[in-house]
Amino acid sequence: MDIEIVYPKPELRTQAREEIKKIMLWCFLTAAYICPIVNICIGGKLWSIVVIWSMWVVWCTLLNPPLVENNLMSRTAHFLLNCAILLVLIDVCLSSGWAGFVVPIVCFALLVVLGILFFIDISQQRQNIMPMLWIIGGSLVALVIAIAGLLKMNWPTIALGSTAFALLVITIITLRRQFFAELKKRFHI
Amino acid sequence: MLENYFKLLDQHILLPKAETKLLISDFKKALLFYSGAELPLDEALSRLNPEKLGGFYCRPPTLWYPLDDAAKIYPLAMKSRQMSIFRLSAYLSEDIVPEILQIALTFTIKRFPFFATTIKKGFFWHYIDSTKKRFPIGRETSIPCQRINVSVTGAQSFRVLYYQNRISVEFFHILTDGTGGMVFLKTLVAEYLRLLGVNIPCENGILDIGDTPTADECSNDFPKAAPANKPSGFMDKPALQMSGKLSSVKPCRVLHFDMDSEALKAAAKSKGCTITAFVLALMFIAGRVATDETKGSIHIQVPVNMRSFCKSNTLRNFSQYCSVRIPVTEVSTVDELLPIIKKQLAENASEDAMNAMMNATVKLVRSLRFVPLFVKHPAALVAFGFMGDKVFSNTLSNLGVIRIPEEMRPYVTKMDFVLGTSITNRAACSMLTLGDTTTLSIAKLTADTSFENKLYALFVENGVTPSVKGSEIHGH
Repeated sequence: MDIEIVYPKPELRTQAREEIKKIMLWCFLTAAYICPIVNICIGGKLWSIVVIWSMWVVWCTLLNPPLVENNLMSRTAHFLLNCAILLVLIDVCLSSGWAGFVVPIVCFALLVVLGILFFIDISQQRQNIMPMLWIIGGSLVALVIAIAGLLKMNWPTIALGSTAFALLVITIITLRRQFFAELKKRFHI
Repeated sequence: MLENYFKLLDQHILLPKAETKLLISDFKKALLFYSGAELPLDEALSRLNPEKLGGFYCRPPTLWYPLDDAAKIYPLAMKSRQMSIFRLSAYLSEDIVPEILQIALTFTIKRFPFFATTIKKGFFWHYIDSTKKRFPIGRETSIPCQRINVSVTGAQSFRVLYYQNRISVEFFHILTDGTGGMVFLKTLVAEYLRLLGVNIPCENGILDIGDTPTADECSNDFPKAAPANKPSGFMDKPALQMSGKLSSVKPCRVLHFDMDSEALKAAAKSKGCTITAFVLALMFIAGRVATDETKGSIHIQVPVNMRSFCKSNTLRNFSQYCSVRIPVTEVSTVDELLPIIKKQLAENASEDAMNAMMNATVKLVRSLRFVPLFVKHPAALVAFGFMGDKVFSNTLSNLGVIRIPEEMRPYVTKMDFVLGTSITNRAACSMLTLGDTTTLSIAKLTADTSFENKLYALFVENGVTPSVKGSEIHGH
């Protein structure tokens, strides 16, 4: 069977990236397997959870980004949220007492960054608004929980909640009907 | 004259600065091409009339479309190296002029607003959201059906490629099926030829790009299925797979068997069957040769166009599939296989069976509608990981006879249809006929050539000698 070649020779760049990803996956899986065993064997604080979460952050952010909606706003939101969770884990597993203060500050910074990204390019970012709305929702819930006395009330939580509310109001005023149209799309069944 | 032209062009484009610049540059390049071809300026300006852009590039992107019931699984089952892509190509009598193809796409895309979209994540389902930008063409640099990056802002879910005399469109299956894709390709090629001065009428599935898109072209027609008398489901026993190491590049090779359609028809007629049944019989025999397994069944998936049962103008997904399965021990000669295949096709691809499957699809989608995506997504990945394509050994998708206007015939010499490969199926076959050429395309997932070699030998034995074209083997 003679075959006439009618296709160009492919570039193999993407292939190299996939190979690196595969190697890194095995490295991470090995580390994720070994760390808890070493941690349990030598005892002490649960540092292996922090290690595993850190590897997860690197994996999600650099090596295996989302296949849908991997835009600047969602990347920023995912990364900073993962960092906030990492801080909570460090607080719980290694040295406690400061996360209730630091995490709202990180989330506040995240809201400010997302707000800036959104308002400097509204026409493009209008369709990428959802991560910001989730963070706003989460921040308002945190404030309500703090008001209810289930979380420690402090100035970063108040700043976070009030910034989230202000951002929500400004977004609704700016987008008007488009805001509700965006919600309709996102929550269609 | 030129100043007025660009003023008018500018009035038709309200995109971000960089996109506008690129779009205007496309028109300048096309004008330069016409100038090089010594076409009078007024004729060139008339062909590139900005009125053809309509209001598409002026209006903000406000349209959005829920995915049709068949498309809902594709983004859920998508992995970084696994994406349901198919490709349709048209071979012209002369090399492609990229400057003109770019303009043809710029004009054509407005007639297909649901293709000018980007995939988005909702709380319960993915959906496609319109995007307004310049949709670029690209020179083919890779093997067909490679994944499309749909993750970035404004990313499109299809690509238009050219190579020598070939125009190809590769679609992520969320947008459309083979029938809808073919309408897009024919409309694009017709517009390309019109820009080169050939008068092509809007008939035989070529849409008038000046017309307004209709609602039924982008409708989800799955709920139209009539109630069926028999139950249906998606679970099945694992099928026997061809042997051969899986390649890292997917697909690792694409082959086209160009055959004389009259000879193929005569061969099928001599066996008293349809071309699909005849090719299926050969695929079963070739599949048996390509595997070391001695137990189990070979299952071949055969997509069925639901438009033949249900009146529909939709250009989105509207197909289902049936399965033809034969135990490997019973795979013998064409004559012995054909009665089994004919019987199974008559039963499994019947209107009732297809309606049952459509009903099952609609029911499944409805039952999952209130389950958040963050729950559905990992569940679908696990389910797809367990089941995936293991229930089939191979696929044969036959788009049938492609009709084009007589005026287009001298310029379009051939068409082909390539299915992207899945996870474990070592081959995926697809077929279409244009004029007197039937092209059977095989996308391979292994360097083992047993399947195609045997298939070729079987065609020759049955009086059809294919002319074989394709790519080199990659990823080994």
